Amino acid sequence: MAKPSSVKVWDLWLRLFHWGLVAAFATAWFSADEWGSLHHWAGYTVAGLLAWRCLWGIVGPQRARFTSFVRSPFAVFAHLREMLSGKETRYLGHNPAGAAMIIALLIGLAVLTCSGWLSTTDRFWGVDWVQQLHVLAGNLVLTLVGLHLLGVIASSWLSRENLMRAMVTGRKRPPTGNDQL
Amino acid sequence: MTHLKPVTLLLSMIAMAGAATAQASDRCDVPEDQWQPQQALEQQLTDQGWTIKNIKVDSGCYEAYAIDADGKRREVYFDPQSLEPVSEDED
Repeated sequence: MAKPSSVKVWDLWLRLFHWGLVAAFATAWFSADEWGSLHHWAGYTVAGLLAWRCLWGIVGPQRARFTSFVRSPFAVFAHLREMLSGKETRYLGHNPAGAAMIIALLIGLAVLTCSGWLSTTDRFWGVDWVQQLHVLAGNLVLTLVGLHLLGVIASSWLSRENLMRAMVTGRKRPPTGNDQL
Repeated sequence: MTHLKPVTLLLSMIAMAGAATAQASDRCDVPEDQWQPQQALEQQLTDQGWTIKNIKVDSGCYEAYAIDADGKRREVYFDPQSLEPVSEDED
């Protein structure tokens, strides 16, 4: 029997979540100055996707579950140090630094969507701190997206594997000796 | 080379955000000594049955956040000299 050339890692719903979130966040970003219904609906879509991801992180398949990839801050820094030294442990699922970024993005997007929704309620209509929090969270999330892309590019380079394509196809190169399953 | 695309997208996002911010300036253009006091606008809106939530200065206009007499949320820009509505942002 020949060895398989790739193995299934990311389930369809996880991938739809990822690219749906990219589309919804990009739409919300570009419509930010309009304050029109497009921005609102993009925001509601982001909020819905977040709720879905949290649920999937508890009841979804193994690799989608938070318990399978969230690591301690020590493990995160240890992995970042490995990356900086140019030799990183290959994880078939999320590596510890990528996992930390997922949590940071989920929290940032939660603050972003909550403050955005609050600013459309009678109670918080025109309230400065809510609007400022929304703008701050928006810029924070965009910064995190930039760092996420840098991390994905760096990790793709170090592991000689196109991780962005893996998030499209759901498949990765089969694990070898020292890889973390 | 496939990695370039999202980076390019990100950069164009930032560039467009900057352009949009620059565009928004100076909806009103009234010399400072010809401004009516904010209380005059507050009085005008209250007389219309509006509940004022916040009034600030933006793009050279008064920007009023209020609930109108029909209970609708409104964000309206007013000319600081005539106190006429200049434009309105949709909720």
